[in-house]
Formats: sequence, C-alpha cells, structure tokens
Amino acid sequence: MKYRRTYYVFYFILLFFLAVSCRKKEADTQLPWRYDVPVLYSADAYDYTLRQIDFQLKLAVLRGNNKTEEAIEEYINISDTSFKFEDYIFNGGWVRFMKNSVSYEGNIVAVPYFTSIMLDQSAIPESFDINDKMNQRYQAINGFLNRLSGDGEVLISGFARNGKLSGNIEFCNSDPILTWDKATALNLLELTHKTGGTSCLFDALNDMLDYMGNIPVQNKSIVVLLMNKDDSLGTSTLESVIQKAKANNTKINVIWLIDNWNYVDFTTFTELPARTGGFLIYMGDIYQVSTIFYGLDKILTNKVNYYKLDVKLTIDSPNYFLDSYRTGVKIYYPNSSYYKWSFIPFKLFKNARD
Amino acid sequence: MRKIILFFLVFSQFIAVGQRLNFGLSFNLMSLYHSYFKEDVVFAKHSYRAYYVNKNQFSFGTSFQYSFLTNVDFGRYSVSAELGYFTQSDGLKTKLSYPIANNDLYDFYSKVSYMGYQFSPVFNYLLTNKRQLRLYGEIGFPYMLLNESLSREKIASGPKSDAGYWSNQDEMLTEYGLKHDYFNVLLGVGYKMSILSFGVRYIHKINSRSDTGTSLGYLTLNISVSANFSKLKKHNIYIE
Repeated sequence: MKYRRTYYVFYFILLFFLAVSCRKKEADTQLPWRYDVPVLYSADAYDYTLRQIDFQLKLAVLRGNNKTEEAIEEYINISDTSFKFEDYIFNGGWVRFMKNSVSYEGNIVAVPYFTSIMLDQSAIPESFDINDKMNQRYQAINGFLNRLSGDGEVLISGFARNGKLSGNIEFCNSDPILTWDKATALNLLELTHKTGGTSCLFDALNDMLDYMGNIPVQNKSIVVLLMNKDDSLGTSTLESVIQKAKANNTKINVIWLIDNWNYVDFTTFTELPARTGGFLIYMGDIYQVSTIFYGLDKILTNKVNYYKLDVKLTIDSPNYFLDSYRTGVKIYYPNSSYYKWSFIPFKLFKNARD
Repeated sequence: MRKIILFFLVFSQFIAVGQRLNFGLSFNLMSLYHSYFKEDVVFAKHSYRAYYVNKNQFSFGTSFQYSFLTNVDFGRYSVSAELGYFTQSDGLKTKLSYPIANNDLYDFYSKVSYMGYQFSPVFNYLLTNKRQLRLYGEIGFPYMLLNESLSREKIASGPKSDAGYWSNQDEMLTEYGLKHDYFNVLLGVGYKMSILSFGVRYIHKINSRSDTGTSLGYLTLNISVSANFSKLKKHNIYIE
C-alpha cells in the first residue's frame, strides 16, 4: 500500500510536467550570403557636344546586409565623395569629370507589373557552371518568388540555342504567377542542369516580346540574367529587338554576370536597358545576385529610392566625342564589411532614347 | 492535455473491472528510422533551397525512452498506460542533394534531434500461453508532447560529421512535422516472462492535415519490467 502511494506520487508529478512545454522561437530564414550592389536606372545625356557632355545618372544602391533577415536595404547615407569618376588620358588629352550635384530622391508610386525573367542557359563561351558553381541563382530567384507581394505577375524561362532546352525558350510556368508556385520552383530547379548551347538572345527576346505584346499592363518588363553575347545565328538583331520593345511598351532590364571581359558585348548589354527604359545591373560577384532578386519585387514596383548625380564630362582638343561615349562610375560603400566598391559601366548617347 | 485526461477517465474504467493491476517501467532503446517522401524534391521551409531526396531513407540512431507503466489484465487481454520521456539525441539523419554546376549534386546531411514526453495507451494480447515464455502482440497510440525548445537540426557535409555548417536550422523539422505535438500508432510483438517482457515495436507518426505528407516511423527495442502485486488481485482470476 505504501509503495503504491509512492508510485502514484511519481506518476502524477510526471503528469504535471506534461502540461509544461517551452515554445521555441521560430528559426530565422537562412538567406544566402549577399553583397552590396548598385542598380543603374538611367544615364541620360541632356547636353551633348563635341567636347562636353552634361549627363544625369539615377542609381539605387542596395545593401547586402547579412546580419539581418530583411532582404533588401538601401544605402541612404552615401556622401557625394562615395561616387567617383576617374579622370584619364586619352590620345594625349585629358578626359575629366566634374560632379555638379548629388541628391537622394524617390518617386515611389507603386505600380503593378508584369515581368518575364529570362535566364541565359547558354554555355559558350561562359556558363553558370563557371560563374555560379554553387547555384546561388536558384536560391535568389526562388527567394524572389517566395517574397512576391501580389503586385506583379511573373513568368520564368531559360533560353539557349541547340542546348539542353526543349526549344530556344523553355518556360518554367506556362501561366503567369502572382505568388510562389511549387511546379514553377521545381522547373526552375531543373534548369540548373540544363546549361548548354549558344545564346539566342535576340531571337529569344523577340519571341518573348511577341508573347507579351497583348498583355494590357502598363508596367511591362523583361529581366534578363545575361552572360554571353548573341550567337548571330538568328533572324533578330539588337536594333529590331529595341524597336519592338519600344513599340510594345516593354522595358528590358539587364542583369549582367560575366567572368571574362573579352566575352562582353558591351553595346548590347548597355543599349538594351538604356534605350528601352530599363535598368542595368552589373554583377562583379555572384553573391550580389541574392541582393538583387530579393529586392526585385520592390525595384519593379518603383518602391526603391535613388541617387541622382549631375555630372559634366569634358575632353581636351583634338579629341572629340562621337555619337556615343562609354564610361563608368565607382561607388564606394560606407561601412560595408563585405564589399568596398562596385564599378558601374554605362553608355551616353547623343540622341538619347531613339 | 485534454486527450490525456480523457484517456485516464476511460482507463480508470478498466481498472475497476480488471483482474490484476501491475506497475512497472518500460524502456525503448535504439531506433531504426524510416522516412518516406511523397515526392523526390523537398522545398526547405526556412531557406530558399530545394533538395532532391531519395523517397525512402533509413537512418540508425541512439534513442532512449523510459516510462512508468500501469497495466491491467483480463486473462489474455491487457491494457497498459505508459507515461515517459523520449529523447532522440543521435539524430534522425536525412540526405539532401542540391544541384550545382557541371551536372553535379552537392550532398548535405540533416541531423534532427528532438525530445519530449510520450503518453502511450497500449493494448496487449497474449498469443500463446506457455508457462515460462509467452508470445504477445500489442497495438497502441502514443501521444508525443514535444519539448520544442530542445529540438535541434544541423546541416553538415557528411553523414558522420558532428560539426554542422549551421545551427538552428529548419530544413527538415517542419518537413517531418516535428514542430508540434502528434499522435503515433504502435505495433509490437515480443515475449513475456513473469515480470520481464522484451520485444520489438514499430512506431509510426500520424500526420496531421497541416503536415507535408512525409512519413516517419521507427523500429525500436522494448524492455518492460512490471511488479506483480498479488494483493491487488480481485474476484476470481481467470486462468486458461
């Protein structure tokens, strides 16, 4: 009897602890490593003469803060001196820059969008197998899909000629999606091992512009994750694509990832966004891809502020500017632990946006 | 909690009509886990990765459960209530493959350890009635009250690596439904002697509607010791 009573005491003490349970804090989202990256919205030459160009840059600067779960932060305290244009000697004459003003502005009018994200799946001469060995891009784009706010419709596809795709373009989703979709994410995952062939960039853009032509959305765009230049085996050209994009009111945004500058088609990479009203992002490092795509929903809906730089560029005699001029700006990140500076190449046109 | 109180109310009826009331201890040792994934891709819940998985995966780990045992018998039938603590310290291991460059896969190994209180109503039946060694079968519905603060997951590059790449992960905890209390179903078979019984149990997690559909079960060894209080016998003892 005594033992039974003791037993029951232990029994009900244990029962008491059944009711007690600590709640564990939900695990943080484990975002991949991300670096700072600038976004060039526009580079407009408003006064273009033979020896002087006055131009304006609009730049957003995204912060890859790895200490926080927040996907996108913007640098809001960049001083004028953080934007550096470097003078140099060309044909015996100096090319000089002078910053007139730097201001921080925003025109945040959130606009619903329709966008098509196109991944360059070609492998000649470069491929993601060289530039993105650990497949950071999947996490970045899947992260974008997970963070869709419902303000936009998204199509995802890969393009390459004579590669491992089912055609020049292979869609991950046949219908646009507003939120994360399992089938789309699965098809995107399978694109990882479908790199090969050459780049049919112009034909792919032409076909995508035809597809998007009848979509009645004001804010339409194509976002191209680019590596290689067009293989020139198709029927479309840079000029025909730009004209079609303008006719269809579709911006072409370029996210440019390269390893070897010798393979760069600078004209295409800069003119596509510059002449269609899109943005240009040059990635020097694959770790910037997560920062870009986690913030892409905000970028496409105009929810990101930008720096406006007013600059004068002069060239000494007898050198003169031609109809376009290629240059760039360096941005030094204040207090960044990961990335000291980024270089943004851009092109200035005498007859802008023709 | 209400489920446990309800069981006690039902169980007390068995005590009233049962022949013998026994008390003891029950131990479950070691676990051979079996995971079954409905699809061959798992989307991580707290990162933006997705992994290819083998649909059927097995892993062996050290687990330990000790319970207080109350048993009431009716001849060949008996009903037991086990109340105890379960700990899976060695880790439920899962191989996850992430596609990378050059058509390659990078293998990660998730190791999940969890613990909590388990309450098990179990129904036993003696399949044979030999004097010394009696074969029995059992079925039960253990209820697991997880101690969530002690659930852990590590991701490592090798199956035996103790150093995880990252701690406080949640790639598979949510996939397995190990973030909330749950019911199991228990099937066992073993041999019973006078106060000692030993056998094998298969315990399978019952998924709730909110779970992902991934199945989890494990095979474990069971040893029970129960004291036979002869003064507690009532009425006429039914003997076959």
